[in-house]
Amino acid sequence: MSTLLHRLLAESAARHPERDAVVLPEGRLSYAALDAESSRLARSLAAHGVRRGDRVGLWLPKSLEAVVALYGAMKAGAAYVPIDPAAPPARLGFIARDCSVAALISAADRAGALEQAFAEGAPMRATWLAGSGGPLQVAGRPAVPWSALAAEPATAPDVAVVDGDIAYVLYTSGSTGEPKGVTLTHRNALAFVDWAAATFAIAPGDRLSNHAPFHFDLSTFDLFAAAHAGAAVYPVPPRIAAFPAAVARYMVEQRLTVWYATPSTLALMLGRGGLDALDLSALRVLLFAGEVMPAPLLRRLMQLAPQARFANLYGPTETNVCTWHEVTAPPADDAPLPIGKPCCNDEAFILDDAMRPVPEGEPGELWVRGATVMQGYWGRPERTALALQPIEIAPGLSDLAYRTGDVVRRRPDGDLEFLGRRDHQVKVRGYRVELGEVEAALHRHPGVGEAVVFAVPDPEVGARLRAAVVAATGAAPTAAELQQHCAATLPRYMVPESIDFMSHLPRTSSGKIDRRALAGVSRENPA
Amino acid sequence: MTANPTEDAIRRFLLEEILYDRDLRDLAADENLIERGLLDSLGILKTVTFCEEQFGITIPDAEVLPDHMESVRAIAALVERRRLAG
Repeated sequence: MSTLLHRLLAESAARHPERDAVVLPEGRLSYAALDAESSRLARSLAAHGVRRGDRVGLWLPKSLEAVVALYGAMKAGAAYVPIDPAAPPARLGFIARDCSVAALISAADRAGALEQAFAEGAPMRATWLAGSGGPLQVAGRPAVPWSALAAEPATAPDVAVVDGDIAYVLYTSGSTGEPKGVTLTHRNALAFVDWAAATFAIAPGDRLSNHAPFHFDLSTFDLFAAAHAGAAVYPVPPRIAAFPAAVARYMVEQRLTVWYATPSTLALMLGRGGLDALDLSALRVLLFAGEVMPAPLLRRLMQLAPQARFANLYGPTETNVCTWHEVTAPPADDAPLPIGKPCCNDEAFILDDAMRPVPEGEPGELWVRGATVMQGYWGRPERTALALQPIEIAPGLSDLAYRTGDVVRRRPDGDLEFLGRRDHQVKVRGYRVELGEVEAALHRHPGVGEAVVFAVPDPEVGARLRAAVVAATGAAPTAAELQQHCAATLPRYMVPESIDFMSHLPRTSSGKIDRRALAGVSRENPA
Repeated sequence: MTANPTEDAIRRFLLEEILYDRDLRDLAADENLIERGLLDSLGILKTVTFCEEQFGITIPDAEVLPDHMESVRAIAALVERRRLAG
């Protein structure tokens, strides 16, 4: 058993140097080449002062260089911080400053956006630029062209790292208006990767799809379970990622054997991508997570690939996968698919508001403790203390557990069933969105007096975001102005698709904003 | 603006409904919407629906491919082909 994520790569490079590690239409890297390239980058990072315990930001499209970058960061002893490559420069700047990245790895053709992101100062000592050309400086600091890496030795720098060190920081939507960085150690990640690679028998001959962006934790399975086994990972090429017909064809033509995707990705490939007309005989394992899987969609997929194994994986970013449910026969009815039983050396507790166990079968909030649970939110001790709290796990014995905010109940067969959220978190195309963060962005516009954001369920993308706004006295902002304002700081999937202006917001008898009434009103009068 | 009314209608739709964070003047007909990350999966669904309603055509899902959607000009060409297929 490896104790570090980048050691998985080194071990596979020693065992299977010539096997494909990463394959994209632009080219492929063997295990030997990925190991060598990431060692060269690690040398270059170390030469510029990156040390054990630092953070290295990644802001570049999915590419061979992006995979080299995340291993290079870890080999230099740092945690990689993948930032949505489609996020606006302001969000990149916020995240890079929030966890004070020592280095940034981006792309030469993003130089303009980088200057914009760091106009108020840059935390990193230097920026590495994938692609060819690019400026000599970014935000007044040195820029290192990718071509300079060739001069570095192809052996990793001698940096001591232990499995309790942070391997990556994943930023997720925060209800208080700012994204927060979930910190996960090598040990956290490997508890999941070791379990997943063994459970689904990932082998050197496997070809794993990679749909999820690297800032989304589903990608840790694709990247590291592949490295664990010496299998190949096939990132969905950015050019086709938004086209279900092109993605479905690509995955089938490449004869990918293991798929891991959100239900909305699978729904689009089936509903819009013609997946049902393609030959799925190569598919061996289909995993899904991030959203509730609709039973009719699962039945259809199981019909199309009767030879494959299907499993529902569950877990917020803070715990990675902590429960799972293998589906051995197509669901007979449309009852919700369970999230199953704990895995990865995790334990699940269902507690009431007073943090006492609920009676068997009753709904309660899910708390998770164990090997995959995060260390905390980067630089936010108060938020961490709310999320990670000691609970009694046996009489007289307490341990820290993560409070998921998910309401579940335990069925008589022991499987957990997801019932809903306690708060205003929704999923849009599998992405977690705190409605409060979108509302905070709207409130930062001077023309907004009151704002509420709500989600309207959508069969294809999970939910669509809408906003209702009461203009500030004397102001008359337009919907386009407010969307533009939001898009300057939020990723695109968090920008409300429509904005309704109202003289006042509907409220319930208790004075709370009536989100259900809003969703109804808005359906009848789309803006 | 160009002299092509199909391109103009598509450009107007994209700028008003999808690319609202962009400056109105800087969307050339051949600018690559996909490489620049301007069209995500939801944006593509909306654009297809707009073209179908605006131009009275149907665009089969199998035609919704990167080559056909990568610029204002490519989308307009797709619309013209679907009109002929009409």
